[in-house]
Amino acid sequence: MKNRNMGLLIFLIPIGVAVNFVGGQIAVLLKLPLFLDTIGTFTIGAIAGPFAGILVGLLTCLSISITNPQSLFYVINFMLMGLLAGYLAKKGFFTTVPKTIGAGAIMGLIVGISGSLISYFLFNGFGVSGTGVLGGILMGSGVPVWASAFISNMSVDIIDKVPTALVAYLIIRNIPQKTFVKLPNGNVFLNAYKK
Amino acid sequence: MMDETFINSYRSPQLSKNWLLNLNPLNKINIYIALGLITLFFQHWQVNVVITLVFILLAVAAGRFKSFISPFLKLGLVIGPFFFIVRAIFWPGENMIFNYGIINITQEGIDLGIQYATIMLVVCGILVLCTVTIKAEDLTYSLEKIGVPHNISFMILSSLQLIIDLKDKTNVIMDSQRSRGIETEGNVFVRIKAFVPVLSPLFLGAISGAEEKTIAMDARAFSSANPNTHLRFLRPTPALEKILVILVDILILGLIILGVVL
Repeated sequence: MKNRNMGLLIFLIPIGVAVNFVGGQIAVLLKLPLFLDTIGTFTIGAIAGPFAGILVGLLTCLSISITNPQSLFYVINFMLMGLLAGYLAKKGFFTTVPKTIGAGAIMGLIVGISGSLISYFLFNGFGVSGTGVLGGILMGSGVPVWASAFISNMSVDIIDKVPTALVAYLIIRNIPQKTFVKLPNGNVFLNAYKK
Repeated sequence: MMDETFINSYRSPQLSKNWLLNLNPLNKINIYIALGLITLFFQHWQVNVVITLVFILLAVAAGRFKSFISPFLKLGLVIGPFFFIVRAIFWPGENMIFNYGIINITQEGIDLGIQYATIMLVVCGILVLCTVTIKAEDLTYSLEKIGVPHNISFMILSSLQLIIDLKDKTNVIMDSQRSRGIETEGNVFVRIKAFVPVLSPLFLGAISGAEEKTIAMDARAFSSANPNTHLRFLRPTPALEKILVILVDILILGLIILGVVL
């Protein structure tokens, strides 16, 4: 039984990685003002536990960095998201819309803090994408370096992670029950949807 | 006859004519990263430029200059200037050169910008060089040789394949959703609403496919604990190659110590 569960995880992790990649691209195709490139990490982390989430994050970071080298420095963030998704899902977040928004906000907050720490210590407070410009504008208008690093990273992360969590919730909602039976965190969702 | 030569090509390690390409993937990564580490210990942008040039030379030596230079320039010319401009314009400093509103160009900012832009060039160099000189199959094989479970190899290889597969599927799903009237253009809210109908069939389809694949792979003894066979394998690392890698590492360590002491 345990072995078969492992088998499904081995197939779900690559799907998480690919969905992260493709989700980000769909967001670009639809010209959305969000990244939405961590849906796979959120969903797989939530349904298959923190360990699978960490692996999805790690592999995503490695494959994204081929086209986007600066993400390599944020590898801890990618893994942290998988870990948090798995942990929060186990605690029953991701089962209702308000709780999912809460989970997104918590993850945005924590990832934002770790992201701004990375930006602050590795990149003098400038983020590596649009956040860098935002942080720069804040610095230029006289805000101290550490404060602009935090404000620019945190705001972007929270704005991005809440919709990501909602999309993950909608997908989890539609996963058939027979699949949940085989997943490590499945019982949480089965119990929640029974009522 | 053709078939026979094709089959025979798998009986020996798959070598190319180039010595650099034939190095063990982990040894290649070792050399690249060791070169990249130099940048951390010398705080001069000139050193970073020299290392970038070394990477270009390595690509030439591997006979992969053409496939190296175009992605490298594409990445480098976006990321390098971005890192430079953001720092040059916004970094607060003492020696003011130009100041207008929030734009605040200082000597410190320019120095910092050049430093970081060239470091990012080195990072791009390492990554692009890895992608053009290392095949994913070879990398996972050499990882298995040092004890990484074969499940991990499978995950890496199948992620790379799935990215391509799902991209194709995305286009199909987008077209079919459009044909049944889901608008993918318009204001932001219309486009946000289009996101879920495109992504969720893709994701759910992939998950249900995964279940079927689990059964199919189990029927082929994927989860068996016996040793695996490999269709494509690497030569055992020659002594000369080991010596080369150790020499390069010692040389770079020496350079770093020299740099720190001076």
